[in-house]
Amino acid sequence: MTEELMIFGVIHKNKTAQEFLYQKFSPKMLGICYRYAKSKMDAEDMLQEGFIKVYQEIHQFRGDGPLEGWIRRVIVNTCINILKKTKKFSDTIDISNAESLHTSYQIVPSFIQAKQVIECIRLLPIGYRTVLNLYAIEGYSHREIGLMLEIEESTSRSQYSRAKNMLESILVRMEILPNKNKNQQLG
Amino acid sequence: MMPNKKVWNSIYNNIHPRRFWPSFSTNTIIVICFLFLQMPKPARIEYYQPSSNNSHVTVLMEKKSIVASTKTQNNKNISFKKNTSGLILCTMSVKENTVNRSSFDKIKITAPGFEKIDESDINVTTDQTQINKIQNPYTLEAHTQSLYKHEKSSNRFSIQSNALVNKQKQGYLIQVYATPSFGFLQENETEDNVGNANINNGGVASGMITENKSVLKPTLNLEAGGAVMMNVSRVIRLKAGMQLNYTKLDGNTTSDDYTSVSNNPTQINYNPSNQLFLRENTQSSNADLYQISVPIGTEIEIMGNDKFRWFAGATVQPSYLINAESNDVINLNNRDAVFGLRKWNLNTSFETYISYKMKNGVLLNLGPQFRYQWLSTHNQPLMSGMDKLYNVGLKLGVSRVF
Repeated sequence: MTEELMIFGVIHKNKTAQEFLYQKFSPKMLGICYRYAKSKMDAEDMLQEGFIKVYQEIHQFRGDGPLEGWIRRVIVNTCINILKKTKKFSDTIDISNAESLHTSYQIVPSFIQAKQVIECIRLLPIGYRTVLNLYAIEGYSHREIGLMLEIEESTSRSQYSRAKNMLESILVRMEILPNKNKNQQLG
Repeated sequence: MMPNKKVWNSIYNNIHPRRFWPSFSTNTIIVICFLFLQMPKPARIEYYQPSSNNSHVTVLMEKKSIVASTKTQNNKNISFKKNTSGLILCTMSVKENTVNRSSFDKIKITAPGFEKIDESDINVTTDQTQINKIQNPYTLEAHTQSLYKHEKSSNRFSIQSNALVNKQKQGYLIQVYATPSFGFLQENETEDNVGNANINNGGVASGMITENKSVLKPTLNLEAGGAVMMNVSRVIRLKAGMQLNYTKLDGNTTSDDYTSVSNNPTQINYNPSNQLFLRENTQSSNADLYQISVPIGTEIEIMGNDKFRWFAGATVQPSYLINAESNDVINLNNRDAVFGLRKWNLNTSFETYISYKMKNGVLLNLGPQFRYQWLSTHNQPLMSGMDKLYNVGLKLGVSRVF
């Protein structure tokens, strides 16, 4: 089934087309939801709500870009909306402190598997994790993140900065990254 | 990472709320069937018969189907017969003026299926206080007045309780049924489309002809529902009900394009068998349709006896498409065939059936049925000539008098 026909079918509520779209994109979208959720069950709830929204709003898809990107945006927005209902993103930190926080993400070795990093990201608090996901993985700007989460742009920056630091310390603790201080002492 | 299968089921149920209606209709029919079979025995029927010694004799009967006959001394009969709609029919072969108390010195009561009625079913009393408990007694003449213009006699030989008379007036019959059928799409010969001849710069003329062919497959369909029937005369009934129709569409139309070339436009041969085959366009329609309809019509009793009766009837059925599921989305050509379905439609049904009365009063119905859909299945029929449905099936029904 071509993508054009699939979209046409979904717009006209055709069961085959709807199921085809779900089978095609659901595994990838579940992975996205999983990054925002506490558990797989929560991720499936997010996926469910997200796909319902996809089916309801697909007539708005204008075909400017790839369908997957559009679905991804809808799913991410759904995840954010669900998180907004339960969590506050207004924990702030002074932007000057945020700038001074030590960041060393450049030292993350290339051999670290994406799966390990994602598991470590899941250990972050929900606020940090969400901003990190949106900025570093989804590619949203801090301004856009601020609008999405209804927080200040500076808050998004600080959350991201703290998230990076916390992630780094987690990676060190799990011995995925070398302990910098220990190396210095040994040296 | 694969999501649980339940996720898709939840999504599907959420985006297809109309699936509620087929299950709701089915459940409603099942509940009606259940109630239908579990109905309690009918209320006690009471007959009062004046005796020759000028006191009242009460005969109490608790059987549903009753044939009560009285034989007069002068061999003139009065019989009471309860028909399928619950109305007591009275047959009198005596002259009006000869009906008097003294004519009924003996009474004989029989019921279908019973050679002799149990004595426990008959209670004879001459207790005047019990007789006086009857409120607003109706005479036999009163409740059969519409059938027999019998002059009300001062010699009241029979009365009934008020409840029974009301029940008889409102007597109706409920029927539940299912009709498995073979469905067809109306097959008409479609006209071939002949294109205009075109002449190019070199003076060569070309023309095109499109030959339409329909390939139809009969499908197994089902309709099920319930109806309430009411007698308007001894042989005519009115009926109304609700019905669920399941129809499977399975057909396609092939349009073959041929072309012809000639130096003279008037010589272009439009006979497809002599032309050059150009291309084939196939449009298919493969879908499951669920319609809900409201059959309204009439039935006529052609002939019958106590056990068997033969009926013929017709209904019109305004129908609404509550759900349609496509099983076949292969190419762009069949888009409209799947999606452009007509919501409202009109069916007509003709049927004839034999009704068999069982001992417990339930009637079994069996007979052929023909149903035709007047409007096209699609809003804009792509498959011209194969778009109206008709079904030939066997109706299986159960009915009961209430």
